[in-house]
Amino acid sequence: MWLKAAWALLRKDALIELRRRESLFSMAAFGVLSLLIYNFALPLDGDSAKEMAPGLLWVTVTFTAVLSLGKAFAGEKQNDAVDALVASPAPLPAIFLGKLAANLLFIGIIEILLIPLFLAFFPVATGFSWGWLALTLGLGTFGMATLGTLFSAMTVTLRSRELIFPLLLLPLMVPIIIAASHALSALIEQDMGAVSTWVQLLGIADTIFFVASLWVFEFLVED
Amino acid sequence: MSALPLRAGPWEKGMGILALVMLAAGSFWGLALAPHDAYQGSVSRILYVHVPSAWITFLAFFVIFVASIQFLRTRNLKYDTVAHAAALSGIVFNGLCLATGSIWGKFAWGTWWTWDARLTTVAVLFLIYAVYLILRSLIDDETRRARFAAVLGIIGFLDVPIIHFSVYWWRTLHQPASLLRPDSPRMAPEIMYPLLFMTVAFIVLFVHLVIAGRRMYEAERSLEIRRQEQVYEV
Repeated sequence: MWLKAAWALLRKDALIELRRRESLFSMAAFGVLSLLIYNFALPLDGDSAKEMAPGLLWVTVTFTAVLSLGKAFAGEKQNDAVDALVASPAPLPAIFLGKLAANLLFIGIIEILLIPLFLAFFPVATGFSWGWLALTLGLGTFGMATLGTLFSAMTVTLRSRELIFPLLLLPLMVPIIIAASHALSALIEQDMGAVSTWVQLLGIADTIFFVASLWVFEFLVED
Repeated sequence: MSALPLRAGPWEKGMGILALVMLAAGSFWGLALAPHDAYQGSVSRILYVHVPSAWITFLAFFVIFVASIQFLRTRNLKYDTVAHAAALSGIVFNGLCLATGSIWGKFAWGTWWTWDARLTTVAVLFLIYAVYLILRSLIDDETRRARFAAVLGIIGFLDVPIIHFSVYWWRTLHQPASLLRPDSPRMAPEIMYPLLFMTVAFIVLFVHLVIAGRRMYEAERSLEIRRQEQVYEV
């Protein structure tokens, strides 16, 4: 029941995106543009690139994700579809799960697009393990998407939604940005001890945010 | 029609007077009687304001957390006013902590700002307080405002240890020895007792402010109810 409902919601959101092609294209364009602008604005050669690349990648991913995360529930506002969702027999945490899965899918697609470009633009050593790269990116993205989905549900009914959403998300995901970007820079420097410290912190943060979100989500959609 | 809570109750008054007396006594103790730091001289006496305000910054987060859970469980708006009043006082103490920390840093470390672990944590908490208050200001319906604020209050509190550890490791993994730390490893009892006294004084002041803030919000609510009743009568 749970998984079925979440899967139905994910499928619906993916289908809408597939037909409208709205979020993904603007996200991709924004992400690529940011990468280009960093290259124009910052002295990115040799060592400085190596030091700045992880942070810049996470800034790009975060700001690109904010574009789509904030809209996760906006589509459900039309014709009061949120009420129908909440009234449906699907358990509320399953609705959260479905929305989270859709967000993860969109951000994941953008990351898969941005990473090769990023490695092409920034002269960073590529001797690191791709499995660890996927793990740090995945854990960081999961935490960001969890908080993003929660605050998207919170802000969908508010005035100046576009303004308050990043204001809510960014300060609360400060630890995720710190841990994810430093995990990445430790990975580039092949300092596996530091990588595992940051990965553990990301895992703990993700678990706390995920469990808490599943619990409090119902209070955001109950009316 | 309920009476407007215009006058302070005995608890609010008592706590206010006690806070005043304790703050005066604690200031005298810390500024005049306690010995000054061997290296920093009298500048270190800012400690008696800085450390208690840092404690209240965290305490207020905890109060918001408990009040938020209580509100979601009972749906009694009284808990929401507690959370709101705690946030409003908390951000003031948080700002005080940042300001005194910055002034102290200028004298002790030679810079107004450094990305010290605890300084950074407190700065992030300030942002979360600010966002909490902004969120409240955006929602008109009072039960919905209370619910959303409670959710943010819970998530924000759970975030505090995560922020702390991420910032702490960020500063220590990269530059271990150069860490600028305001505290000495062992604190002399002549400094610790007035510090503890001032911390208690700040807690009393905080309790007073929360009670006063609650009364203010109750008054606002009753005014709003009266206004609506009048609209219906006309």
